[in-house]
Amino acid sequence: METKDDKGISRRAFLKRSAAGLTILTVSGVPTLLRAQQPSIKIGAVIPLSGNYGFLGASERCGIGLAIDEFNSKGGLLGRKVEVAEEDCATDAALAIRKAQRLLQSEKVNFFLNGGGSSVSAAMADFAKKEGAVDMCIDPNSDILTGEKANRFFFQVPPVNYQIAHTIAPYVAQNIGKKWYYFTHDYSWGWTLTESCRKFMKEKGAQEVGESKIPLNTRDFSSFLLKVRGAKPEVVMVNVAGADFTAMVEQMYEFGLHKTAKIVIPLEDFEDAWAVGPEKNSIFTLMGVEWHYAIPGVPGINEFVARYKKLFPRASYPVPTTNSYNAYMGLRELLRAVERAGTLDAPKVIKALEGHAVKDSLKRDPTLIREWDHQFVQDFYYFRPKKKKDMKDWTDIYEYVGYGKGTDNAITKNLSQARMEKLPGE
Amino acid sequence: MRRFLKLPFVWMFLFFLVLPYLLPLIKGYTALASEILIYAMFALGFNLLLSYTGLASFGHAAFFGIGAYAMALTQLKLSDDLWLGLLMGMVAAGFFAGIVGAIICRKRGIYFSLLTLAFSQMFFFIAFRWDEVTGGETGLTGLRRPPLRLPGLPAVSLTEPMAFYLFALAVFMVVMILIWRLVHSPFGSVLQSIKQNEVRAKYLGYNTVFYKWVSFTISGIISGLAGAMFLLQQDAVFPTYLNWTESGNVVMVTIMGGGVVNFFGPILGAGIFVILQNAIGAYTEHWLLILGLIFIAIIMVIPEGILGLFKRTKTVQQ
Repeated sequence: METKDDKGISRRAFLKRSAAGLTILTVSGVPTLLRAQQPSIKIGAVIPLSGNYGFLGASERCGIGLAIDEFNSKGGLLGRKVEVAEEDCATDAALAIRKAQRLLQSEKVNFFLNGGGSSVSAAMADFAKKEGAVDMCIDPNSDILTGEKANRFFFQVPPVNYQIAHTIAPYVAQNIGKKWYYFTHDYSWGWTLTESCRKFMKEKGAQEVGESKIPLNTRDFSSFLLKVRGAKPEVVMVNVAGADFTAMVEQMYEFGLHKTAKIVIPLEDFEDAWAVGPEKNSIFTLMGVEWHYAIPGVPGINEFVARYKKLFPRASYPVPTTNSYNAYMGLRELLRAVERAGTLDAPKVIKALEGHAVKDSLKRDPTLIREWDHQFVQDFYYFRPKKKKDMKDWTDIYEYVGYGKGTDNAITKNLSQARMEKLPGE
Repeated sequence: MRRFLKLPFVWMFLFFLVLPYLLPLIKGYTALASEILIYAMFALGFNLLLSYTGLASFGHAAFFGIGAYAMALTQLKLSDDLWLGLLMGMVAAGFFAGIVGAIICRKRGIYFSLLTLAFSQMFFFIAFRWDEVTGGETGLTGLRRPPLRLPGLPAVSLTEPMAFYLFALAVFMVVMILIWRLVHSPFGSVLQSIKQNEVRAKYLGYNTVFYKWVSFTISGIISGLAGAMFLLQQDAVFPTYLNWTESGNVVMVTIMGGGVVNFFGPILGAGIFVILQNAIGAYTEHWLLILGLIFIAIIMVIPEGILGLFKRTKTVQQ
């Protein structure tokens, strides 16, 4: 009688082995099941990994990693592991909402974190409110996020345009020049930044000699550059972002605009500056940055940089940037608020965040999470390009000039459009 | 009963009824199913122009976006009524499609296509920069799904994903049957004759420009309805809805599914596109690259699209 088939195993033997295998699996599966009773705390991160601001996502991912590592390495949060589920929003608001819906419905995330520019964030602000889920917004600087879009579930980690202009414009008017020309990116973000700069420019007695509105996706700046030269300004304020910015810098450099006027960037990302390179970056006189890895006199900043280097030895950027900082700060403060509240319940976490002062802000002054518009009120810095001989490596291109306190420069309640709703049960 | 079961619509309806329960198996969810229906509606409207009239529009996202904006503005400024919103979406999209169509329907081939692209970019920039009306870059958000009111029945809330899905399914079925009727009517035959040989159709006494214009406008209206439905699905509208990349997506969806040779092609294409976008996107940030490669592979292997494999010519070339 044939007991073994061609494949070399009898039916009986197969059954026996399967039964044995199943037993082992079940037994070894028990600890997993026990652990599974304490599911991890899930953060849904809707960040840009492709599209216009694709480079931001790479930095943000590192910041998120740092915050999560901080909690998991000390045994998690409320006895549970913290975990992140990432989705690419490709800088597209419609896509971001779709991804957030997916994270909520099929990944069952507890909290959100979002980047990807102001349109994605405005959409996420409404989404957070509608779904009753806390969202920390980590990269845009649009005023509407702490104005008309402000709501109890949405927190704005970076400073917004009003504060940036309030810090930079008076300094430029007093120390750099009085006749200003604006390069304004021709959509809401550019308009509001120029508008705010204008307000403080006038207050400090400087005057405007012209403005060029730069359409989105401009690659040829020659006509604008000729127009600037004709206006003979002392200062050119550049409120242009993204890939257009990089193209513009190349052409300004070729054109030699920096020989006739001082060029000021109220808000710059390191990622953009590094892409342009130190040589071309030296055409600027002053640039505003939200955070820098070598702000002098800030306790804990060196340890933070060291931790970053240790955790991400092969990251695309060897030092943390503004965007990794913002992602880290947003997520760390959210998780700390969960710890203080002792629960994942959104209203309780929101109350733990509201009015909280972050002492170890990695900036000169503590950061305050403001109750009435959910702005992280913090310092804003200005730097200038370093001399070539002083640079230690390709990332080391700025030197510290000064800063403005958030408490002095952020928008005040009587000017703000923020109207917060009441939480259920308040 | 047997004859009834032979109808493809019946099978499709049954399939879509169970779809929300199948999607979780591939990390999907109910809202994704609604999106497939809405996208399929948009692609069917687009295909009326592409495969039945022989006009390749590279700017159809404009009408989709206009429909969404019109619905949003109706809700914000006028009334919260569901039917009025959808109607306004169709009217606005039809109005602009009518104007654009009147200007460009005399053009043929590549000139026609390029003009559609140009007009759609014009609408995109208007939406992107007219902050006071369209909300500019950040679009119009924070809208809501009004309840469904039918005469003689109590109002039904559509906030639950499943309720909205069933509503979307009903709208989709109606639109699909209407388009089916249209392309199989004498009017549809004229359109197909224009696709095959416009000069000959003209000599037969048909005002081909007028027919093309009607087809363009109807296609715009359907796109507008799909856009308005998409607004309900997302509770928000952004200028990116009108961008040329979205116009490109609908071309891709239609061709990939096999719309050129089969009436149901765009529906299959929409399903594949939305699911892939969701599934690949959950695993890698390079999902656009993979999606592009899949598209290239399909076009290289089966130029007529996926349904071209099974039923060449059955419905279109009658």
